[in-house]
Amino acid sequence: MFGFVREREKKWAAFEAEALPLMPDVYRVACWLTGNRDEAEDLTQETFVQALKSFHRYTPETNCRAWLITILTRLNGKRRLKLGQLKLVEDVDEQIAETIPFEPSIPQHLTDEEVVEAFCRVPAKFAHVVLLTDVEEFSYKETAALLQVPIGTVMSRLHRGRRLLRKELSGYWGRKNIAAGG
Amino acid sequence: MNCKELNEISDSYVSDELLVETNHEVLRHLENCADCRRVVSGQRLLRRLIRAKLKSAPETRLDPAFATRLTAQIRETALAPSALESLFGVSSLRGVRVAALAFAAIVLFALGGVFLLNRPDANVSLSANTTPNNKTAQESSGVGVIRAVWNEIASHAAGDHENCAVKFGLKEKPISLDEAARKYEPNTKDLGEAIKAALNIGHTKSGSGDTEFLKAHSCLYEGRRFTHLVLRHKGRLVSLLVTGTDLPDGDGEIQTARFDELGVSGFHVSRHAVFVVSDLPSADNIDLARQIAPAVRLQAKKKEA
Repeated sequence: MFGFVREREKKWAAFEAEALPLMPDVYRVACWLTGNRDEAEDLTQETFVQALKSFHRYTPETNCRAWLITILTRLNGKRRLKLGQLKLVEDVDEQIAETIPFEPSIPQHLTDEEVVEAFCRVPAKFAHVVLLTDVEEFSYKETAALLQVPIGTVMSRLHRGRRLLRKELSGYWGRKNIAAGG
Repeated sequence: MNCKELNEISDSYVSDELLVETNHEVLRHLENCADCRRVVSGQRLLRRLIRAKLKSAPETRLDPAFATRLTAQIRETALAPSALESLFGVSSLRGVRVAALAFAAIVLFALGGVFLLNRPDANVSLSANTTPNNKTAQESSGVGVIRAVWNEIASHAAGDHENCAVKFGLKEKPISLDEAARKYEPNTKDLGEAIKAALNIGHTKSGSGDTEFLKAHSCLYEGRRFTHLVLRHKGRLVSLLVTGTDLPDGDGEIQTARFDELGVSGFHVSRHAVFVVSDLPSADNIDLARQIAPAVRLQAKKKEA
């Protein structure tokens, strides 16, 4: 006999073993995507509820982390669209790129807060690519799938994101030097 | 490959996204070009810096209370009967078929006044005895999350051992237990002394080999403060690390994890997570963790009181 109860328990056991241990990772990405702990908790909750509903589509023992982050980024996209934060202004890329004429060096002694502040000042579309590739270590291909953009866009946003970040971080160097009378 | 060409693909090189052949061309160019080496090295530094800081930023750490709540909520959703099951009051496909037949029979009876089928209800009430024990299942559902949070703290403990005890490479200079007691946790010094006393360091042999006390201090690694005792045990460097945690009170059971060649054994009790880190076999780390467990538990309870 094919019992619903047994089936539910089996599904739950698989979900508990594969998806739930990734909650800290999902929450961390949610924090960086939203910039707010409460919103990150809401987004994490929505992600896991949605993941449970769609768990039959997930192939066991493949890349559960990428699958969860895909759900997270889609939900975040919808959330931002609802809040009117998603604006498609394509020439912004070029404008920003034009404002960074050189690659400044990175200071050696930065505090955690300074790095976090610098990252938060990078526009979301670039910061999200840096987050997914450099911090969460997704490949270009995976990042493109997560954000639903072509690989070329991932590459150009990563390039610009890194340059913007470098510029922000070098600002601390300048300020520290000035403060030290250097 | 010239400098301009390398500049166009240096991001992909740093991200390990190039084909093997192109990678070789980059390496050949870098061998002879100090300017490009500087650029690539700067890009690598940026990537490492961002990863290290953003992955361990305290503000992005999962609140264990939230994790436990969410786990319970998802579990409840996962194990709740579906609308179909609730409608027919059954818990199996066969039960649904049976209930549907019964429903059809009632309709037929109402329409034609002719009742042809008996309602076979042998499987209708299966659900009553198959609901899992809620408490036991709920307890087990939080284990995965707690383990994940514990593993994250354990990885910081391993990192602290590597960067503080082995390489002396911490960004912020460690402070004495006295100073840490004044500035952060009043029980820091007592905790350190209690651990030393539990191991009877410097006076007798501990376990099957000599244990020599090297130093004790309070240090900061990846935003987390540790009370850190460094020993030499069986000729290897061993770190005993204690840090605060919001994990729900554990039963003191010793857990183990491995990060490359480093083994970590530890437990959490009364808002304290305790780790023994070394490259010794796990059995030695577990043995040390067991020896210090009663002393740490006592100090933690004292602090709570």
